[in-house]
Amino acid sequence: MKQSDSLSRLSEFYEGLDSIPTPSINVPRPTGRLVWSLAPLGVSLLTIAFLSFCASGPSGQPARVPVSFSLDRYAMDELGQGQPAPGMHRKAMLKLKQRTMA
Amino acid sequence: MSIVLHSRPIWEAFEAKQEPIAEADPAHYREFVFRTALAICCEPDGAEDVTQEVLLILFRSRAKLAKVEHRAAWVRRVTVRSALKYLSRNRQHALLTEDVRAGSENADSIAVFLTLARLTPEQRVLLGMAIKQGLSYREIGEALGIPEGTVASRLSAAKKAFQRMWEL
Repeated sequence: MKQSDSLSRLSEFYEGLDSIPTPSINVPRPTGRLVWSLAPLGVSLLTIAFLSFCASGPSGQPARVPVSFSLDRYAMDELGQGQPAPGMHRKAMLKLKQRTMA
Repeated sequence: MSIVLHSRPIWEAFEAKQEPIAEADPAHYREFVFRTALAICCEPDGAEDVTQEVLLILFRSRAKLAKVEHRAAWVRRVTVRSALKYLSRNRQHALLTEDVRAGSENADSIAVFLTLARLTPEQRVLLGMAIKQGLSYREIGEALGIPEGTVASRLSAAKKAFQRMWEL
């Protein structure tokens, strides 16, 4: 008798749980596609960052200048002008450099 | 020339386009998991915590969920395991908040809740699944990973333990 009484209380308690509504719990959604779609952008940004790091010189010093620019500068110095000669071809600049080196 | 206007509001049309949630989608089991967890934990906060954890597990194991034959049984097993862990972690906490709960809720419900809190987590699972959810011994056995005969004996012991605690 006592057991049935205690179990009936338990059953009533369990029935009371039905009145509790289900909360709005966020269910995780797959993000794999989004991540993979952003992968090329990430690779590009990493490449740019790496090249920038390589191009930059030690702290306090100017960045290393690529070869093509040094040719331009050489041409400017040789011609004694403030800017590269208009229409000067890359091959002409190389010839100029070879002649000077010789 | 007549212009036909769509009489339904935009949101109705949008809702009509929504596809039903697939059975292999973790979102499909939100209600099921919460009700199972609530039957075991007997408090909405705990049931919500368990539901969050289970949905995360289902999301991580969604490839396996898609392959499982008896999905509901598998999800129930995951929920029971998570609920057992939760009850083991928070057993002391449930007893400590006795005064707080006693002042805020129905006295009979508090008495039953505190009596349940004195039982072992497995006994609470057995009572919740057998009395609240009305599951068979086979279903309970599958969820707990024990034979049907063991379920019967342990359930009987759980009922006796509840009665003993209730009389204290």
